[in-house]
Amino acid sequence: MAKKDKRSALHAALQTAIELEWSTIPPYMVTVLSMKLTANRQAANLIRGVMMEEMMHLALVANVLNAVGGTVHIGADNLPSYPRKLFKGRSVEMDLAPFSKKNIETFMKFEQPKTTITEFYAGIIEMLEELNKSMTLFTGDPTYQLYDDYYWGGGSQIIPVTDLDSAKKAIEIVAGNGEGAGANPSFTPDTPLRMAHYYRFAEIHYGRRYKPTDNPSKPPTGEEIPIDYKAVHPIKVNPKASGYKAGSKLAKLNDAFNSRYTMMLRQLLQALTGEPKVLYTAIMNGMHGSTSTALEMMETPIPGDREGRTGCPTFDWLDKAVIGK
Amino acid sequence: MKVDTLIIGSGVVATALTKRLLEHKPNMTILILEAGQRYKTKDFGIWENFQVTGDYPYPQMFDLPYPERDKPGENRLVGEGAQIPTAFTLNGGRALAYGGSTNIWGGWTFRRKPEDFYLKTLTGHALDWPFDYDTLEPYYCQAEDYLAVSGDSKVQDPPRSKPYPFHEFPYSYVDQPVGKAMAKLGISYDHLPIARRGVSAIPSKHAPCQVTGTCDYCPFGARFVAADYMDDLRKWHDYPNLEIRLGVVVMSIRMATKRRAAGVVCRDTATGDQYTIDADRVIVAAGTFESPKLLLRSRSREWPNGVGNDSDNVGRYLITHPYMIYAGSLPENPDKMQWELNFPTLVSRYFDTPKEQAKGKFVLVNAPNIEAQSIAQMMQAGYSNAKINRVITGAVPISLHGMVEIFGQYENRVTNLDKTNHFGMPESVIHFTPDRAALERIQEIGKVVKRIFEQMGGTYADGNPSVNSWRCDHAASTCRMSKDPKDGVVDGDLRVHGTDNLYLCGNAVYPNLGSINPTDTVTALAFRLGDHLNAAG
Repeated sequence: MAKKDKRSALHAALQTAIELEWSTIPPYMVTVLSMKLTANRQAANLIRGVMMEEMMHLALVANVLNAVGGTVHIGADNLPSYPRKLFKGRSVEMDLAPFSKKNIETFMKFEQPKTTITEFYAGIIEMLEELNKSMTLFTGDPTYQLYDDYYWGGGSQIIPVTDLDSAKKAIEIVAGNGEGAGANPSFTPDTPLRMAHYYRFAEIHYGRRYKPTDNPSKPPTGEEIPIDYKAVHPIKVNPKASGYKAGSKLAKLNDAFNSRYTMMLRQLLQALTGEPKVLYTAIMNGMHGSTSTALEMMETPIPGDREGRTGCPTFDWLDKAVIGK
Repeated sequence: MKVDTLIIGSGVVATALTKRLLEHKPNMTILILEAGQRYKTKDFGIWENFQVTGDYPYPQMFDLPYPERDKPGENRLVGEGAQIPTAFTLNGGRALAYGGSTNIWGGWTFRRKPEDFYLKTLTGHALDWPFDYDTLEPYYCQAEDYLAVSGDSKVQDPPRSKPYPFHEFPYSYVDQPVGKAMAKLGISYDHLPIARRGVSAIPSKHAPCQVTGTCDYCPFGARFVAADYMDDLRKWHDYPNLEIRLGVVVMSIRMATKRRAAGVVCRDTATGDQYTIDADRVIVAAGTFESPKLLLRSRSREWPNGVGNDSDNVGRYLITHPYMIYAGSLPENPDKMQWELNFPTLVSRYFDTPKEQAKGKFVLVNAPNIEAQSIAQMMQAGYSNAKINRVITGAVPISLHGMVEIFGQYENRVTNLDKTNHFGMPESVIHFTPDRAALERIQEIGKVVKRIFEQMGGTYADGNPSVNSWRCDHAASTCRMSKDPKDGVVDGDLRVHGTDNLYLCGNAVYPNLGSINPTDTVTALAFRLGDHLNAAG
């Protein structure tokens, strides 16, 4: 492969990684919001923590892509839809679905250590190492980098990427506690926010915390976590916008949500392609602002639904400005 | 209705105290009554409107100005102070809202100095505090963690046992001329500690400061606002028995016996319904004006002059800080300095020392020193590049801001007016006559500023200070702490003298104010009160 092609291949792999991280976020968000508090507080916090780290992973991968002279792409054409096979060669399908035992099992399967995703991230590190030997790889504009100012709620920090060491470190953070965890996923019961995602879902699945003395390959034996799979909004799984009758309350809320989601993605793209400060607007305005609409949908029954289900946002690209109408 | 703890007011005192009580006993029944309403924080619509129009988003939280001809207004100001245009203006100086005045504060977070606890002993003014700096020091550390203060931990005057949670903001470019001049004159200065969250490895729900320069309404919640932290208590912790009611005015405290509070009588301002609430203990945290007014309204056979007012101290000794702006100008501005941050980074506490205490300690703040010139306006007016450069390198107005300690006088006080304001609360009568010595002191401070301006190569304007605001922002001392009940209203544990279960916390309990902003101290007092109540069980 020519050098130019190799660089393109690296860019393409990093873009795939961005889409992978992005596509995990709506399913986690829907599950968290479907959980009624206070019954499932601890479990909700665990999933919320994972969801926030997926956002951080997206930021870290974007830093690497920007550092090696690539361009992040986020748009209608690569918007994730559900059900979705998150990764080629993986049979696990992610849904937009309420909190349930089955759902947590899916999340566990997806976040399982030592999978094709592990190999995928290992492959990115190999490409970085190889290309760094044969060319000036880190040609990106350093002002595109996101840094720790942009992430304040989770257990890790965003690092700016400027060279091979920082690029490898960024990818290792992504792979170390996320779905790309390798042979030795992070097992740190003393600092739960550093635990590999798989273990955090296992804690919910088994309804117990891990103890530092536990064997990571066995179920946890620590303190019980109260879990109530019935304390959940009965939302429609993988909803479609066409499923909400035009002009109905749910259709309006869904449009409002999607319009805000789209605006947030546009701002995210802007933030990842040269104007990092826009990320603040995306977070505080777009992301935080969308929660109340999603919750209202989940509390609103679908008229005439025989199973008594409630609404759920569809996460579509919607450029029409509908907020406030 | 019966609760364990009833808190009147929902500002930083209520928030910090509630946090401390619930950490200790998560099932405790706490009811917080707030007369005002909730205003949205971190809202981009409000923020953008503020950015575009420059209009502060707060007027709805404010008292109306004092009445004028053709303008009914609210509250009354009597005494010689009524001649000072800005004397004890309530309008703009406090916020009646969920989260209290932290909705509108600037975030300056100074500690008192050890000598500030011994004003009476050292100068004969006011009263000593019932405890010393060392007693409060650990609580200052907790308060600074809570308020998310960015400050210079190397500064050890007053001494500190723990670093600030976030490092100091660097001095801005415009601090240089004044810093250099102060250094030449031997006037020390430091980084101004400020409650704006920084970056740290500790996860937080609150975002770090991004220096947008729009601190008056932070779009991210990086500047501490108690409302955001009260939201945390309500939304993120599953305290089953925490309740907050908005739009509820407490009319009086009901006493079961001389020593025991039974609860309160309150009024829902939306419905006009009046009802009673029983409580095992009542904590008044309604600010320097409303707290004493409530005690004064709470009359009974046992307390004919109002609860805690047998010695006629409730509402008296009212003080605030005169806030002075001294103006001047520099003949030229070759480095084209423009005000950058919209918050100050340099403060001199050189005159905040025992030596200055008898005459009134003061601090000088560089905020803002060099006035921004609107390059955009000049461009719109069609100025050429050369002309704009001439303007911004030419003569430029400068200023220094100051706050000075003034001493409480018995005659200066707040009482109830038999009239209701637009929040549904009884209005205030403020009796205020400024101390002549304080007015002279303000002129004396001008001489120090003049030396600094001249050292900078500038001139000091005639008629300084150009602004001499006695607004109520830092009002204090209306329910003083005292060891002896005859001198004050509450004891060192903040319990109203002569009662068992009635407490009062706020700037009102300060026997004196010093020359610095009161919020760091009041937050420390709230945590200390929490520990006291937790220990009492």
